Amino acid sequence: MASLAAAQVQEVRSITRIERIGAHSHIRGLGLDDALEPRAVSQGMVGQKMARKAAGVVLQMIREGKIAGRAVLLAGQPGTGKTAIAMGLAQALGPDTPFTSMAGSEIYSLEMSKTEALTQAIRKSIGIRIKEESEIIEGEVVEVIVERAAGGGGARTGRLTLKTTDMETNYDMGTKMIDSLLKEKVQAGDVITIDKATGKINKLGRSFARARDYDATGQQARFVQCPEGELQKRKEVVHTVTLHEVDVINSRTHGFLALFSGDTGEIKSEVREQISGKLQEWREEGKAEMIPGVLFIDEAHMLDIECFSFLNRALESETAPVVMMATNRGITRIRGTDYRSPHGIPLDLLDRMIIVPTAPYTHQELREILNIRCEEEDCQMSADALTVLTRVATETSLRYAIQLITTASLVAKRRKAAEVSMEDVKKVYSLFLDEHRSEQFLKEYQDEFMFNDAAGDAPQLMEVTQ
Amino acid sequence: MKRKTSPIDSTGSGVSTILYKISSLTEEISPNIDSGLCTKKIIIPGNHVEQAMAYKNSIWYKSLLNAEKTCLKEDQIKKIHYKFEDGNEMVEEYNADTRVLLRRAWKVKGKIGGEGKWLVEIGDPIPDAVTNTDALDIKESKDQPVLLKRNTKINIEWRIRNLPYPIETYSIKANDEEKHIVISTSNKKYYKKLEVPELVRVGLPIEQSKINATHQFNTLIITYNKPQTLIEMEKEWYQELNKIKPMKDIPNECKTQ
Repeated sequence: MASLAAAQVQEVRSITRIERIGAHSHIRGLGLDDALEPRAVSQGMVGQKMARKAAGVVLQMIREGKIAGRAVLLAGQPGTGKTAIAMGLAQALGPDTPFTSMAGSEIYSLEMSKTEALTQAIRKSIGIRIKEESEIIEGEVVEVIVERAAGGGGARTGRLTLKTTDMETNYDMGTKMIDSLLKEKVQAGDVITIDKATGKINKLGRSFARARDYDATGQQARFVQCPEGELQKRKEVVHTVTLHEVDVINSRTHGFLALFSGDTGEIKSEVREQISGKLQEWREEGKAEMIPGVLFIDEAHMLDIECFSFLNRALESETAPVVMMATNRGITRIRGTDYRSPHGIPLDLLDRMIIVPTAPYTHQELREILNIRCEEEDCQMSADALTVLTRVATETSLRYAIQLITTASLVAKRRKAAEVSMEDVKKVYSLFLDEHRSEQFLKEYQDEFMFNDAAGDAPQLMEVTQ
Repeated sequence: MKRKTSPIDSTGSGVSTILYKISSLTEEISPNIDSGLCTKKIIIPGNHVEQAMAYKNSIWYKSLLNAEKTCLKEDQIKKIHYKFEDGNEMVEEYNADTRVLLRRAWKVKGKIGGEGKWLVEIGDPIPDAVTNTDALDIKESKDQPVLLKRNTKINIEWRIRNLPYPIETYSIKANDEEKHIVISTSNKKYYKKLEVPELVRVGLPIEQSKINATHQFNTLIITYNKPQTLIEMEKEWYQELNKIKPMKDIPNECKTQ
């Protein structure tokens, strides 16, 4: 039992380590009801009703999985929730649907060509559900021991004892396995299966033998028999892999090692064709099922003309995912050309897209968002402080106002107050400049900065060059 | 035809899939052989020649004959690579002096492709060229029982190391219906179903009387006396293998495998 307590202490620690608060970690879905109507405030989403409703329709289209290669463009000013909607969509789709998120500038790598990077991203967004015989460990947990090697930060080692009615075996676990065991809250008396190849843990329920420990079980605990016979069995399990993973496994002799090191390099088109052919075969025979997912390209205006024309073609393929792009640009130059076009995207591609606009938030919505962020960042804020913060958000930007939440809460903590007051917000407002005030400041003291030769052409240099 | 699959050994049991492909084939025809044998036995009781010929009709023996074979002789070890008509690959290693099979391994490929890996049916496991600790994040502790299968001229032999319990603990039973030998322990610490593909392939029964077990130095050794038919088949097959010319020039990279 002592070991169990140790595991639980470990658990608290590891969760604070894993889950950091990101810019969109308050988003848990699109905030739609069953009829795909947007709720005013739900799942971390506020306002933007039309855009969310549109995303809900797209969600339905993806779930049905029949339509391949549609493109959706989320267009709107900075800080109007484009990425939030995409993240919400990913959450609403669930973990089984592949969702690849990338920034437009990610394709510019020295290791592979732009089109290769795009192809990989596209194929990462297509999943295959395939039945395969796999080695499964199935048994009742006798003991879980997690130890940290001497000296803080040392590698953790784990030991898991499993039994069936006929045998008992000890297993050594690595870090990843320990993490997933703790995440699943596996404890002595649980009957679990572990896929030996993928490390996936499945909790079947509590063992009947443990039915007396009422305090250790929740209400919804399911009781199952302790398995019989051998601990390791071969069973048919359903694996979900992405097309890209299949590509990598087949592209080299030591393919799957490359998957772990991340060094995949370019994949020959013959390999891809072969796999697409095989996939077609499997689907006809009913051996595999295709799960079209979503490729989300943020900052899509950073793609250049070659990428756009490549996408034009790629979207026509049967195995194309739904491509979602987001941009905050208006009419601007298409990268790699001298032509100007709405959103920096060529007209022929725009013509293939459905465009979802996002509009700036209202005062009330901003307040609601800031309130959600305060909760997410674990910060108590007084009503008047929130009012001030909302005004800051309307006058400067939502992002800047969000930045002030944790900073203000730190200031409040320093004066040992439980709640963030208006003064704290004012203090951090004066400590940290927003973009507009910073510009003002620069204009005022321009002459005293270095390399200052009467600006004017500098912004043009900032434009991307090709 | 349906039957519980169970691993051959604790490390790699993917081989059972392939074993079944072949064993199920033999099973289809084995009743015919059996009945054929029975009638013949009545006419000429205990005729060894007739019995010995039975394996030649088994699908297994035929598939061995039809397989594309490559031979490689390295020191005193003769390595044979088989490529069967159904695409499966197998490797056998013989001691050229004693003519005993040292190792037999099957190539197991995943459904989604890739190189696949060798799963050992008989002999010591092949050590990994690259140890990949990431892939296998869970494995048996070092002090847990390890099963090894060995082959001698007259016996099939299983060695289970790290089993400290005295000999009375174990009960070893042949289960001919499900075609395996079951090892269980009275203290419920160890349980294993051993497959005997050698017998299943040529349609021979698993007999309790042929099983012997000893326990020494934390190791449980289970031996199964090979039936005469099997011994003769192996002898004859080795003769057959002598017809294959060993490869002369071996590229350097091939030496490791």
